[in-house]
This record gives sequence, C-alpha cells and structure tokens, in this order.
Amino acid sequence: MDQDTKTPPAFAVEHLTVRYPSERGWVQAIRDVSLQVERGKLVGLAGESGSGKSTLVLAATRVIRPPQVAVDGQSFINGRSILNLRDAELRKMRWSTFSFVTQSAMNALNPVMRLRDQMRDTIRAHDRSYQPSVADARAREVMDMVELPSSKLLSYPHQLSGGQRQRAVIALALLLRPDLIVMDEPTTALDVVVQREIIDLIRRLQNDQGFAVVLITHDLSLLLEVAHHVIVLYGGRVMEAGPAEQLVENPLHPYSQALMHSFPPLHGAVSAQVGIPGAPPDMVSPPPGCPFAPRCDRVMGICRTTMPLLQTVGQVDVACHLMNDQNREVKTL
Amino acid sequence: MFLVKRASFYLLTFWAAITLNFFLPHLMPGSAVGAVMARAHGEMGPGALHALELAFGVNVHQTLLQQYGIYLSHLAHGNLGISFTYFPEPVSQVIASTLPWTLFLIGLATIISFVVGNLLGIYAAWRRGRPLASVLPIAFTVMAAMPYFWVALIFLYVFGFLTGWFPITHSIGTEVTGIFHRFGSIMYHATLPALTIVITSMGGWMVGMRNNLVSVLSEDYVILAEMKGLPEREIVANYAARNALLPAITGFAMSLGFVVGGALLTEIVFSYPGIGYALYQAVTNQDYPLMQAIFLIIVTAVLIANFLVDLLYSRLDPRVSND
Amino acid sequence: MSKNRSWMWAVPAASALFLAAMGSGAFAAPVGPHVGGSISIVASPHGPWADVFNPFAPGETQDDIVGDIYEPLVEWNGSTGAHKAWLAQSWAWSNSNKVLTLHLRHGVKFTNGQLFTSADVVFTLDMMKKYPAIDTSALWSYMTSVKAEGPYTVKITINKPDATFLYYLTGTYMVPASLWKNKNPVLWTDPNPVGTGPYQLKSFSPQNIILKRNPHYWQKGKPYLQTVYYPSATSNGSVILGLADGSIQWSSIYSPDLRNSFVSKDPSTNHTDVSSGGYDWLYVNLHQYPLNLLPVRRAISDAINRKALSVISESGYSTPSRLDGIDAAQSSWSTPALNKKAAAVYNPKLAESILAKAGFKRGPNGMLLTPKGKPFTVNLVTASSFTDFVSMTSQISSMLHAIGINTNITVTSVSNYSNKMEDGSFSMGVMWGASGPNPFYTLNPLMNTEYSAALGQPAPDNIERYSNPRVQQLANEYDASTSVAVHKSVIDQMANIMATQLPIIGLLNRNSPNEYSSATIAGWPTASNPYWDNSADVGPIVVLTQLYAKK
Ligand SMILES: Nc1ncnc2c1ncn2[C@@H]1O[C@H](COP(=O)(O)OP(=O)(O)O)[C@@H](O)[C@H]1O
Ligand SMILES: [Mg+2]
Repeated sequence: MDQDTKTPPAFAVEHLTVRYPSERGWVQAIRDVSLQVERGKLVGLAGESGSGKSTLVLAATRVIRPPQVAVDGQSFINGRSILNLRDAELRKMRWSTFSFVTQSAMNALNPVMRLRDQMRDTIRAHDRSYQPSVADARAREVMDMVELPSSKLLSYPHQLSGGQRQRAVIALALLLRPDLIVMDEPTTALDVVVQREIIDLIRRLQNDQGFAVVLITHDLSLLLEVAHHVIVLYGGRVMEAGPAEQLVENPLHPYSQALMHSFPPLHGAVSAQVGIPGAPPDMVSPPPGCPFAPRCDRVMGICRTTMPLLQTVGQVDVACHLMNDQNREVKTL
Repeated sequence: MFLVKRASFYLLTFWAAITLNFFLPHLMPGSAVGAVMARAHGEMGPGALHALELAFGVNVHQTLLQQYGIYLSHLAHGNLGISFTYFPEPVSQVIASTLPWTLFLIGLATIISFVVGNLLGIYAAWRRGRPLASVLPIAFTVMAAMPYFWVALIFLYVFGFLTGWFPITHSIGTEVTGIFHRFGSIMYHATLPALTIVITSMGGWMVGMRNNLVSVLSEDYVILAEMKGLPEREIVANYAARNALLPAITGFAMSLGFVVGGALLTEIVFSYPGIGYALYQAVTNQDYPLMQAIFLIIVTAVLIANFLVDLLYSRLDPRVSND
Repeated sequence: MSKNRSWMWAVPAASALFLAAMGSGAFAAPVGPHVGGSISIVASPHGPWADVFNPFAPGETQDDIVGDIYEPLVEWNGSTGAHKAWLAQSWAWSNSNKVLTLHLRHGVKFTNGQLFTSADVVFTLDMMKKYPAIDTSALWSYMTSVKAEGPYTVKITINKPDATFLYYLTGTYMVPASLWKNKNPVLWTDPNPVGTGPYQLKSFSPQNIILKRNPHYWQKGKPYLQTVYYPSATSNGSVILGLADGSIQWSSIYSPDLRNSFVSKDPSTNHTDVSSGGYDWLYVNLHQYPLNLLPVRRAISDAINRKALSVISESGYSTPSRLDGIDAAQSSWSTPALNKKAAAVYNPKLAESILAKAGFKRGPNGMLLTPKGKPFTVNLVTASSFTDFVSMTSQISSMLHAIGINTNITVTSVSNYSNKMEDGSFSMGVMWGASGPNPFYTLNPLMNTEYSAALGQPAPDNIERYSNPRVQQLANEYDASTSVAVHKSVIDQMANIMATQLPIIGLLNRNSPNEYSSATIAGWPTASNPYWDNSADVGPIVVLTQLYAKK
C-alpha cells in the first residue's frame, strides 16, 4: 500500500459539489462526492439517467466550468489539482493525460473534417515537433488498435457505420497515450452485438495498455462484467462503491439492487426487464434525506429526514440507514 | 454523375428562364413608344408616334412564336438588340458600361458585409455574455431594420455634403488619369455607398451566424475539440464556425447572384452608374431588349452562383456529394 | 482630380473666395465677356449617359447636350415662341405659300473644318425622307421636294399650305452630308459628333460628358465659356446638393422647395425662375355619355378649384390656366373679350345648378343620376410615376364628388396610361397637350380631326376625339396665310370654340422651374432682361453662348 503514497491515483475527487443555475434555482447535480480511481484500473460509474454521472466527470475536468456551473471541492488527475490549474497548463494536460470517449459517438466527430485531420490537429496541438508523417503513423497505429483499416483515416464521419465511428472515437482517445480515459456511455447508441464488441475492445485495450478508465453507464450489469470497481451514483450522491464482484454478488443498497434488476446481464439469459418504479428526484429541491427514499420499498422514517453517511461494510462503502446495526435485521428478514 | 445531373438541371432551368424572360414583358400592358411619348410631355412633333414605331421596330407583323424564334436565334448569336431607352445604343453597350461598376461596388460590399458580418457573428456567439457581444447584434439588427434609403441619404448628407469628406456623386472623378489616381478615385468614390450597403446588410449575416454558432457550440464535436486541448482559434475556425457557416453559404450565393441586379437605391442616392438604374429605366420605359438582357444576366448569374455553391458546398460539407 | 478635390474643399474654397471678394474683388472693375472658365449643367436627372450623340435619336435623354453641338436653322424660344434666325438668316414663302426659300448664313463651318452649305440641308432633309423613323415631325407628309439653289439657298416645296411647317422644319438639326452619307441615321450612335454648334465633344464617360469650346464658331468671339460639364445624375436630391455646394451652376429640375434648399444658401447668387411650357388638360372622352354633354363639361370645369391644384400638386409653379389654351406667356394673342370668356371660375354651387338644369337628379344615396336614371360615375386614369398628376387626379376626384359625381381612379404605368389615353379607352384623365410658338400649335392639334383617330387607334393629340368642321376651315385659313392678322383671327376663333365648347378642360399652365447660380458666371437672362427662356433643357445654346465667367 505504500505505492499509493508515491504514485497519486489517476483520478480523484474530493467533496465535489456542482450546481447548475436555472430559472427555478440551483440544480444540485452533484452533492459532496468523493471518489478515487487508481492507475490502471477500470472503474464503473453507474446510475440512472440524470443521476449526475456526466456532470461529475465534466465538472471535475473543467469541461463545464463557471459561469455555466458553480463548483466546490477538489479534483485531481495524476495528483494535479485540476480546478486550480492555469488554462494553458490544463490545455496541455488535456488528451495527453486524460482523454474522453463522449456520450454519443455519432456527434463526437466533426462532420466536415476527415478522420485523419481530426487526429493530426490533436497531435499538433500537443507536439511542438509535429510532423504530419509522424502523426499519420501514430494515427494508423491507433486505428490498428481499434481494428479499423487505416484507409478509414481518409473518411469523413458520415461515411462510417455507427460501430466504426465508436471505434474511431476510441482510437482518437488513445492517440496521445493518456493515463486516464473517461468513457461516457460509449455503447448506448449501438445495437447489442456491436455493444458487445466495443466492450470487449475496451477491456482488451485497457488490459494491454494499462490506462485507467472511468466507464459511465446506466447499465450496472454491464459494468459488473468489465469493471474492477463500481461506484453507484443517485441524486448527485454516491450510494454505494466497491469491488465489482462484491456488487454483483451482494448489492447492499436498495438502489443498487433495483438497478441490477432493471437490466439483463450482458452474458446470460434475457430475463424480464424491470424498470425501477417512480422517477428520480427534482434536483432543484431534492428530498432532505436519502434521495432514493421516495422510491425505496424499504424506506424508514429516518430515510426521509437524514441523509445516511457512507459507511464501510466489508470491502464496500454504502450510504444507507439499513446498514446501521439496529436496522440490520430488517434487511436480512 | 453528380455534376452531370446538376448541369442538366441548370440547363433546363436556364431554358425555362429565357423563355419566361421573352414572354413576360410581352404580357405587360403599354408600349415603349407610349413611354417615350409620355416622357416627352407633348414636346415631340406630330409625326413622332409613327416615327418611333418605325425606329423601335414595334408593330411589326410577326406572330409571338416567330418573335420567340428570332429572339432565341439572336440570343444564340449574342445579339441582345438595341435599347429603346438609350436608342440607338446597343444593349450590350449599356450593360458593358454599367455592369462592371455594379459588380465592383455591390460585389465588394456584399463580400465585405458577409465576411465582417460573419466574423462579428462569431465574436458575438463565442464571447456571449460580454457587453460588446450583446450590444453588437442589437445595434446591427436595428441598422438593418432602418429604411436603406434613409440611411444612405443621411450618410450622403453628413459625410458627403456637410463635412465634404466623401464625394456625393459618381464612381470616379472627372478627368482622372493614370492607373494609380484612377484606382484611388474609384475607391474613394465607392467608400460611402459601399459603407451604407455594408452596415445595413451586415446585421442579417451577423445574427444568422451568431444563432447558428450558438447551437453548434453545444454540439459534441465542439466540446470534444476543447477536450482535445486544441487552441481556441482552431476550435472556433475548424469546428464551430465552419459548421455554423454552412447554412449561410446558400444565402450568400443568392446574394452574390443578385449582385448583378444592382442596388437601385444606392445608385439613385449616390448617382452611381450601375445596372440597377438601367433596369429601373428599362422597366419604366418598357425597354424590352434592355429588360430582357438584364434579367438574362441576373438569371445566369444566379444559376452560376448556385452551381458554384453546389461545388463549393460539396467541398465544405462532404455529406452533400457522397449520397 | 480637380473635380475630385472640389468636393473635398468646396466649403473652405467657397469661404476663401468670399473673403477675397470682400477684400478687394468687390470693388474691382467687373470682368466683361471673355473666353475662359467652365460651367456644370444638369438639366434633369436621367442616370448615366449613353454614348449617343445622334441628333435624330428619339427620347429626351441627351437632347440638351446634342443641341450644343448640332444647330437648327432657326432657334425657337420654348416659353414665348419667339424665334431667332440661326443657321438660316432669312426665309420667304412664295407660290401661294407652297414654296419656302431659305437663305443660309455664310461662312458657317462644321468642327471638322468643312463649310456648311445648302447641300447639307438638302442631305439632312432627304435622309428624313429615306428614313421615316427619324422624321419625328412628319415633315415629309407635307414636303414634295427639297432643292439647293447655289450654296446658300434652299427651296422646299410642300403639297398644301401649312403655316406650322416652318416651325417643325427649322427646328431640325443639320448634320454634315460628308459624314452621314453612308450611315443609317436610325441606328448610328454618332459617338464623335461633328456639328456647327458652339461646342464640340471633348470626352465622353457615362458619368460626365465634357464639351469644349468650338474656336471657329460662326458667332465671332463666342461662346465664352471654355468647358461645359454635363455630369450625370440619378436623383433630384443629388442635383440640389450639387447646386447648393456650387458644383452645379445650372439645372432645370423640379423640386418643391427650392427657396429653402437652394436659394436661401446664398440669395445673392442663387436664382430660380420658370419656363412655361403649355397646359395640363383634363381630357374628357367625348364618345361617352354623359361626358359628351356640354353642360356636364361646364359643370365639371366649374367644380374644379385650380388654385388648389396649383398649390397642392405643383408647389405653385404651374398656375391656374384659362379655358382657351392661351397660356400666360402668349397672352398677346388674346383679346379683352376672349379674356372674359375664357376665364375659369371655381363655383361648385353653379356647377350643381347647371347639372340640375340639365336633368341630373340626386339619387337615394345623395349622388347624381343622369337624366337616363343611371348613376353618374366617371373613371379617372393616371400614371403612378407622374406623382403630380396622381395628386391632381385625386383632388379632382374629390372635387367632383363634392357636386355629386361618383369617381373611380385607375393608377397605372406611364406607358399603359398613355396608351389608354391615345387609344380613347378612358373617360377622363389629366394629361399635357401640344404646344408651340403660338396658341394655334396648341389648339389646332387638340381640336382638329386630322390629329384624331378611330377609337382603339392611337390618336396623336385630339384624344378626346372632338370633331368640328369649323376647326378644319380655320386651320386651312391659317395655313394658307402668312399674315399675322389672319393668324390672330384664326386663333381668336379657335380659342372661342375651346372656351365655349370645352372639348377638353384647361387646368394649369405648366411651368417648370430653372435653377442657376451667378456666383461664378454672368450673362443670365433676368427679369429685367428676359432675352431667352432660361431652361437648361433641349439645347440651351442661345443662353449658353451669352454666358461668361466672372473672372
Ligand atoms: N446544463 C444544465 N443546466 C441545468 N441542469 C442540468 C444541465 N445539465 C444537466 N443538468 C441536470 O443535472 C443533473 C445531472 O445530469 P447529468 O450529469 O447529465 O446526468 P447523467 O449523465 O447521469 O444522465 C440532471 O438533473 C440534469 O437535469
Ligand atoms: Mg450523461
């Protein structure tokens, strides 16, 4: 464990709070969230749509920033405090230290530029000794990695299929050998077969190259197959966080359990798909207690008034009043 | 294939246009002779009516179809006929002496307006929230809403007459010789009219660009460009503006095409010798040959502009050509 | 470049001039006529010039300039009809007024050095026979032959006596036979004109036609001004600015408020006056009931407030006219008896009683019914671009409405309006009429059936289609005689017919303003010395040859 003190985590967030201004008041998208992603690890960020997953990573990397949002807390990548960095420094860090695979690969590529040029300009922006031939060689390499023919470098985005485009976006993310890649729902828009391929690809690349990944999805079951670690987010708060196999075997939080059941596992029989009844809370005036309380089938009086603290149960951190000793039995019933 | 399809489409359109161009003036009531008589206000002799009919070759006994055939064959030989207004000046001569000025002044003003308007639009969108970025669109929208005639008259009066900074008539000084002096004089004379066109037409481009760009800025590929750490300049130019510009290109092509129609009000206010006034004369004097020639030029220019835009568009937007 | 500068420094330069004048120049001896200086003339705004100097070209675009280069045999004063011998020194009728002998001035040269002789006159007139398209005065409908008798005498024979022939013949521009003999004068643009006039073309551009003095002009020592600029203009507005800043010295544009926009800038040098040029008439279609009834026309005439038309529609330049076609400048052709008969009155009450007497009754809606019991409605036609006519038409419409006549107004294009009027497919409309050196040139075309046509065919002048054999007789009497007394008597009788029969209704004497500046140029016609009509339009050479630079 003394390695941790020498090498900082790839990505760490401390007490992050993010609010969007809106006509009705502040939208409290992220509330006091802390988390860590160790180097070389694949960490899943799960939660229903609207739970704050995108906001968390975008605010932590200053892609969204004041005056669009109000941000409190700290965010570190490779130990450097992102929120306090000078613009020029941050610009240098972008893509070379951490890159993105954004939510919709359909629109992530500039429709009027060839793939090659969208790679070239990225390299040029970070390399003083930029040479087109060298850049193109690297572009071919990353195309190879995502199993796309390098001839596709001359294509425009609209000439690629959905799956090819997603691969191209991943290739782009690999371009500058980053330590961290944030992938925001990289497979949502794809059909199941292609989803499968992409997930396999990501896992393989991550294995081979050892970069850390934050993989955002609302599909918890998918995460459980590929992630080392899973963080479940709801209502802008961390509900549960722990090793993936722990969450598969034994999800502790009622929200995690509900989420597990709402998606069929990627490998396995397609069972009846059950959505979670009810809707996520209004984040302008979230419930004072547990954000899940209004939808929870094991809600208690305290849940509606007091936000439970994250507490460690075995290898897992859970924020649920059910985890308190006096409430344990209820759960095991 | 794409080109062949487009080209045949344009040829067909062209034929339809020249045919309309022939028949429309013949459906207008009144005659050129009547117009000349009317302008002379009774100062012409008693035989004028007959003489004019002879000179203009009207009242010739040919069917409309025969006349159409002659019109087409003359067109094919580049013979545009003789203007009634400037009789017996050939129409080609009238056009040769007015069109270059129009192309120069209105073309230049249109291009400046487009370039500056879009640059300001980019600024207003990219820097939105800043005071200047908020004021600019409003200021130029107000400018565009003011009647052009009025703006031009005020500029003429203030910067031409009162201060004497700029000439109040014509496109070049009298008896100016030497390439250098002529060029200087031409630019000097064009300043005020071009300025009035630019400031009154720029608002449209600017607001259009601003609105397009604001929506493009929230596109994923622009956000990704920023994530990639590209320099701001490149993001604006290659990712945001280039995509936001596409819808404006068609409008720009149309306005370039219509440049050859001239700008009547500009020409009237600044006594600028363009083709707009010639067209106005042609219409009021029922000068069919001149009218037809100018419409022909306008149609041709608009078609050419559209064709060029088709070509340009397929370069700017790769999605167009490869369907 | 010099022109260019003058815009920039107009204001300082003018004040410098003013100071100089105050200092010493004001009391220096006035400089008399001498060669030198220049003038800028904009007769009226009609856009960029065409490179056309053919004096036979139709339309009025360039005729003011052409008239400085080419000359007629006789100059006629547009306002008064007075004449001045020009290339022809004298003329005489013989053979019962069927042969006209013209004696040409000696020693007149074209600007290419060739002598102007009878051969050129014969050539010019023969060319008009060969090309009827340039014979805009239809001279060859009268002429049977033209012959030279020696280098300075021309004999013209016409088929029947016609006293107006002289006017139209002698107003024709003379061109050199040597240069025109191989030309088609209809289509020849004549870009390098060679004439006998006081000026010759120096340079052409669509924006400025520059004339220079003809040093060998037959009027020795004249003209005085070295250079004449004709800058093109597209709007009255820019001409007024040019007049006000001194860059234009002479124009004949119509502007409602010249006192403010021009004269008041410097009343000591900036002047306006008016040229009178015929009538504005209210034409009435005599083929339509009930407009063919004299009492109806009389009532309409009495219902019209001409003073209001003058002030509201013409800014007071054009003035209320008489009913007989004799305009203010030609009053010497009238008699006291005629003056009384031809005076127009404004009396709507009288108009109503005339109509009542003629059997017109008020209908249920208070508007008049004809004696046949039909509503009395007239249609007025006018052209949108003649804004003064539009305004007059709408005034007349409400004046007629006031006495119970319903009106509709059709506003259309100039050419459609003039076609409707000429073809007789109108009921009423305001329009100009012919005019000439005396009232006969007005009255005869308006009332003589020779100038009429069947309905549906264009009539040149008598568009109301008045028919009265007495008019024909009078016209023949006039044409057969060269005696002023006979002419006077014919005019008196024709004017009487016009004033009493009212085939059409006189509204205004058409006057148009002229603007000129005496700041740098002297020699203008003035109220005390009105030697010629001061219009810048239509070859203003009589005045132009008198003008000279003040220093
Ligand atoms: N630009 C914005 N302005 C206001 N509210 C926003 C904005 N973007 C997201 N939100 C709100 O923030 C919350 C979190 O959104 P988001 O981070 O997109 O969730 P997720 O990525 O988990 O679907 C939601 O309630 C959403 O409505
Ligand atoms: Mg999201």
